Amino acid sequence: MALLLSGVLILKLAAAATAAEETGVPEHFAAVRHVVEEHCGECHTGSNRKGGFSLNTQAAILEGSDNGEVLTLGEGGAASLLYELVTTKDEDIRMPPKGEGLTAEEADALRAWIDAGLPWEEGFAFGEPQKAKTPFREVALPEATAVDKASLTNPVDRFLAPYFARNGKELGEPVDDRRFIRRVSLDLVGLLPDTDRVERFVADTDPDKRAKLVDELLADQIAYADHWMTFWNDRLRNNYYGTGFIDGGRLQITGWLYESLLENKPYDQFVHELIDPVPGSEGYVKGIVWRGVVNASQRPVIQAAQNVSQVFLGTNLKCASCHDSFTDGWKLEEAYAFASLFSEEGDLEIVECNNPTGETVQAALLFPELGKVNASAPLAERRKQAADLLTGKNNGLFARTLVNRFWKVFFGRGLVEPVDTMANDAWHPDLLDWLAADFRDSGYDMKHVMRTICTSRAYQLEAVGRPAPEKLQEKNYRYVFEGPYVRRMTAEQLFDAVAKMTGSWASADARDKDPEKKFRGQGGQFISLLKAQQAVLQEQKELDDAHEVPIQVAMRASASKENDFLLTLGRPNREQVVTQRDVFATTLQALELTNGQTFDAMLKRGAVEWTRETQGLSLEDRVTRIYQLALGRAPNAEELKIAAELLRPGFTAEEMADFLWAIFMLPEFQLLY
Amino acid sequence: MKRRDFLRKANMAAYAAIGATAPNVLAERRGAPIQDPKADSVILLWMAGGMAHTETFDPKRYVPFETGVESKRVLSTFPSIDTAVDNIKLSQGLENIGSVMDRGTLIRSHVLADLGHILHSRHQYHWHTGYEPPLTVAAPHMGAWVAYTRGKRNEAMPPFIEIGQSYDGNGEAEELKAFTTGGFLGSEFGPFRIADPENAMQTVQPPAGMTAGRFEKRDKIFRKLLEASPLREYGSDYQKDSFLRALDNAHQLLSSPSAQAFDLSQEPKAIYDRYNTGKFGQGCLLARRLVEQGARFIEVTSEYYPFKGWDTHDNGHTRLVEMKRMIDAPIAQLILDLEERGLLDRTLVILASEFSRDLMMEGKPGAEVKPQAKVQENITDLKFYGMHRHFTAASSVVMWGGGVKQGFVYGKTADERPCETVENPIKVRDLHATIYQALGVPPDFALEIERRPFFVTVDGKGRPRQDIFA
Repeated sequence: MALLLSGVLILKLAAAATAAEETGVPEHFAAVRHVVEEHCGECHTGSNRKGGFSLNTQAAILEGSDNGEVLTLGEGGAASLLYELVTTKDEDIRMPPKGEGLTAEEADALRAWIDAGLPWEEGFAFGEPQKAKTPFREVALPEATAVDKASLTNPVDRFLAPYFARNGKELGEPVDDRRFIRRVSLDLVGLLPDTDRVERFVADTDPDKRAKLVDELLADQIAYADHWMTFWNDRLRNNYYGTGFIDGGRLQITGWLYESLLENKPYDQFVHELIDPVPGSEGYVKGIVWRGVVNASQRPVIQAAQNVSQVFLGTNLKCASCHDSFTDGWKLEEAYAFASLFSEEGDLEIVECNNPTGETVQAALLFPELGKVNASAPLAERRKQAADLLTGKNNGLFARTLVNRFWKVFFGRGLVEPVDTMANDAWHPDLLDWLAADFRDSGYDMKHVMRTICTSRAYQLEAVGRPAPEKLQEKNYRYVFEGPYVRRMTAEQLFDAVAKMTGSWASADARDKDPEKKFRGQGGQFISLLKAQQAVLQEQKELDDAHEVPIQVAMRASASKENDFLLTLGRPNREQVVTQRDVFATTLQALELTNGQTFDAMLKRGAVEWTRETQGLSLEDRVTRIYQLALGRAPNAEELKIAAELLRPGFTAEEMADFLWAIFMLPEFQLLY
Repeated sequence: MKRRDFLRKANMAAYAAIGATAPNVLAERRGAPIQDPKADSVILLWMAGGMAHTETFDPKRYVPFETGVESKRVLSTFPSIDTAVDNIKLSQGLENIGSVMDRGTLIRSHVLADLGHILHSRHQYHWHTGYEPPLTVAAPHMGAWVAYTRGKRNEAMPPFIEIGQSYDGNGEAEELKAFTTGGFLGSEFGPFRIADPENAMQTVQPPAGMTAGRFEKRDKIFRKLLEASPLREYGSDYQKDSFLRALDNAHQLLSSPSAQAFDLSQEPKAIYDRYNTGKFGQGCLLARRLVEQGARFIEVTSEYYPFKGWDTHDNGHTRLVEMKRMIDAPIAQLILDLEERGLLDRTLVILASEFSRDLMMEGKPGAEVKPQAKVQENITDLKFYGMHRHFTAASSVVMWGGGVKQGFVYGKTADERPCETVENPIKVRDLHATIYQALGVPPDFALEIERRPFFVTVDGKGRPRQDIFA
C-alpha cells in the first residue's frame, strides 16, 4: 500500500510540475481550494471541526472524521465517501447541509483532485494566517526561446515564452513603431511624443532602436521626474495643499521627492530616507496630525505603521490596527509592535477598538525573520535600525512589492493582485522573484526594472481589453496573461496630453523675482521643484555648450495645484494611500470633458493656435498635423473626409475647437493601447 | 466565525439594474436588497456651521438684551412662537416653517459625537458619511450611498447633486471636499456640484458660447471619427466602452428636456419670489424642480464658510435674524410645493446641522473642551448676545415626507442649562439608519473594500427609530 501510494503521488507530482511552476499552486488544488473556501470552510477549516473532520491540511483530511476515513488514497475520487457526500441526492446526508451544494463542475474538480492523490500547495493550510513571505528566492533565468525566428533574450520573455506555450499560445508580434513610441512615452515620461520624434523613430532602421528609445526616455530626468511624481504622490500621500496643512499638522515632501526622482535615487535608499527621515522627507512618517481627538488607530504612529506596511511591504494593517484581523491573521499586537518603531515614547500601549488595554508591546518588525530592532533605543536609532532591516538584503518582499507595482503600471494588472496584498500568489511567481532579485542586484535601480520591462516582447504585445467586472465574478475565472491591458490615462497624463495639443501649459518663469510668492498658490514647495529643474538644466548646459537653459518651464499637471479637471478625472485628495486610480470612466468625467471650464478654456486656446498655424496649409496637411501629434499617425481617407466637414479652407477657430474636441474624445486619444 | 463569511457574493446584476459602472472595488454586498422604500428622493437641507437649537426649533427661556444682562441667564435670544401644532413652539423668525410643522417630525434629541476640539469640518464629515474622520479608506457621502444603492430615477439626471457650496477661496475647501465625495464607490456616485443655483443651467449646457446646433454637429463629427478610427478594429472592450457610455450619459443630460429643470428663470415670478431669499432660497427652489424631474439625492447647503452663516462666534442674535429669514420662507414653500405636487409622500426632506450652539458651554457637559468664543459675565455689548460656543449634547433635526409621522416631536431637552438631551437621544448612526430605512436601505448594507466590510452605518449597527415612522 505504501509503495503504491508514493508511486501515485510521484507520478502526479511530475505531471503537476509545469502548472506549479507558473502559479506555485499544483494542478487541481486551486479549484479545490475555492470549493473548500466556498462550501466547507464554515464547519471544517481553521478551528472548526464539525463531526471531528478538518480540511486544514492533507494529513487532517487523511485522518478522517469521528466516523472514520472519508477517502482512501489510490482508490480514486469517485469511490470516496467525500465525493459521495457532496454529490448525493439524499438531502439528509448531503454536504454542505445548507444551500445549493456543489455544482457538477465543483464536484468533478474534487473528484479529479482525489484521483490525483490530493496535491497540495506547499506550506498551505486552510484557516492559517495568510502572510507574505519575505525572503528573496533565487530563480534561474530560463534559456532564451526562439519565437518567430527571433530569439527572445529579454528576461521577462524568457519566462513568458514557456508560459505562453503552456497555455497553448505563442508570444505574438510586437505592436508597430507608432504604437510603441506612443505607449512607451506615455508610460515612462507621461507625454505624447513629438511628431518629428515619431517620424524619426519610424524611419530609423537600427534593430536596437526600441531599446535606445527606452534609454533616451529614461535619461530625460525632468520629464521622468515630472511624470513619476504622480505615482509617488498617490502612494506617499504627498500633496501640495489640503487637509492638515492649515495648522502645520502635515508636511510636504515635494522637494525631497522630486530631487530623488531626478537623480534616480536607489530604491533602498529612497525608502530608508522616508522611514528614517533626512531633511525634506520628514513629512512622510509624520503623517497627518489631525486636530481634535482621533481614533487611536489613526494616530500618526499608527498611520506610519499602516502606510509603511501597505506601500513598501504590500501588507494591509488597517484591520489589525483596531483588533486582530478577521481576514489575514495579523494581530493587533503585531500592528502595535510595528507602530512602536515610529513612536517617540517607544513601546506603545495597545488600544483595541479605541479602548486602551493597559498592555504595552515591544517595538518589533512585522516580519521577525528580518531581524531585531533594539526596542529600548531612542526613536532615531530605532527608526534607523528598522529602515536598515526593511530595506536590507534579506527582504525580498520589499523588492517584490515595488516590482509588482511597476508591473501593474505597465501592464494594467499586477503579477500579484491586489497589489497591496502581497500574501496572494503571483500568476508567475518565478518571474516576480527573478525580477525582484534582479532589482536588488541592480542596486535597487528603479529605471533598470522599467528598462527590463519596456524592452520585453511581453510589454510590446498588442494590448488586450480589460475584462468586464461581471467576468471577474465568474466562478473559476483565472487570469491568463496575453499582453498588457488597454489602460486609461491618469488625470495627469490626459491633462498633459491636452496641454501639449493645445499649447496651454501653465508656465513658471525662472527669472521671476519672487517666485516663492508667485507660486504659493501651487503649493508651498513648488519652488523647490523649479529650482531642482533649473539645477539639472544648468548641469546639462555645462556638459553641452549648445544647450540652452530655458527660462520658461512648462508646468506639468503632476506639479500643479488641483483643478476641476484633475479632481474629476481622478486625482485623489491624498488623505489616504491610493495605489490604483479608477479603471472605468464615469458620467461626471465625461461631463467635465464636455463642458468643463478648465478643459473648455484649453480647447479654445488651442484652437486659436492651430488655426493660426495651419490656416495656410492644405486640408490634408492640416488634419495630418493634428492626427500626428494626437495619435502618432496620419489620418486615413475616411477620416480626412470627415475632417473636411469642419476644417476646409476658411474654417473658423470655433470649427477647429470642435474638431480638436472630437479628437480628444476618441478612445484612441484617451487610452494607452 | 469570520465576519466576512457572512458577506455574500456581489450580485453584479444589481449594478446593471442601477445603471452604474461597477465601483473600483472588489465589491460584495450584504444584507437584503432594498426593502419597502417609503421615499424615492431625498432633499437634505444643511444648516452649515452649527445651528443653535435654542434659537430655532427648541426655544427655551427668552431673556431679552439689556446692558449688563447676566450671560448665564440667557437660554434663548428670541421669544417663542406658536405653530400649526399645539405642543410645538419654535423660535421667532420661523413662522413659515411653523405653519408646516404639522407635516413633519421634529427630532429634538440629536446628539453629536465628541471629537475633542469642536471642528466644523470633522463634525460635518461625520454627519455626512456616518464615520468619524480620519479614516483609512475614503468614506462615501450619504448622497453617494443613496445614489449607489438606489441608482438613478431619471437616466439623464445625476443621482447626487450638491447645491450652494462654493469652494473657491474657502479656507476649508479641502476639508469639505474630503467628505463631499463618492469615496471608494468612485466618482460615478460623487456629487454633481452646483455652486450657484441661479447659474445652475451652465452646468448642464454646452460650453459658453456654443449653440445647440454646433453642439450637435460636434458630437456627430466625433461619432463619425470614432467609426473611422482603426482602433475600432480591436473590437469592443468594456473599458473603452465605459467612456463612450459616460459620454452618452453626459450628452443625454445636456440635450435632455430634464436639463430645463436646472433653469430657475423658467419658474413663474411669483413663485420664484417666494423662494428668493438669496442663494439658499434659490437652492430650495432648484431642489424642488430637480426632484420633479427625477433627482435622487440633493443637498442644499446654507453654505459653509468659517465664521459665516450659522457659524456665529459673535453677534449671534443679530445674525440669526438674518439666517432665519434666509431659510424660513423657502423651506416652508418647498414643503407646500412638494405636497401640492403629490411628491411629499415619496420625498424625504431633512433639515440638520453638524451640532448646536450655546452661549456658555463649549462641547458637552462634562467634557473639557477649549472654548472657541469669549463670554462676558454680564453682557455689555449686543455683539456678545447670542450662541457663540459649540454644543454637541443636543441638536434639532426636522424631517418631512418619506413616511415620517406628521406633527410629531421626538426626544426632549432640558429646560435649564445645559439644555442637553434628556429623552430619546439619537446619535448619527441611528439617525442615519432611520433615514436609510425610509429609503429601503438596510443599516447593515455593506461593500467589501480591502477585504473588509464597509457598512452604510458604522459596523452595520445603526438602529432605525421606528417611532418616527407613521
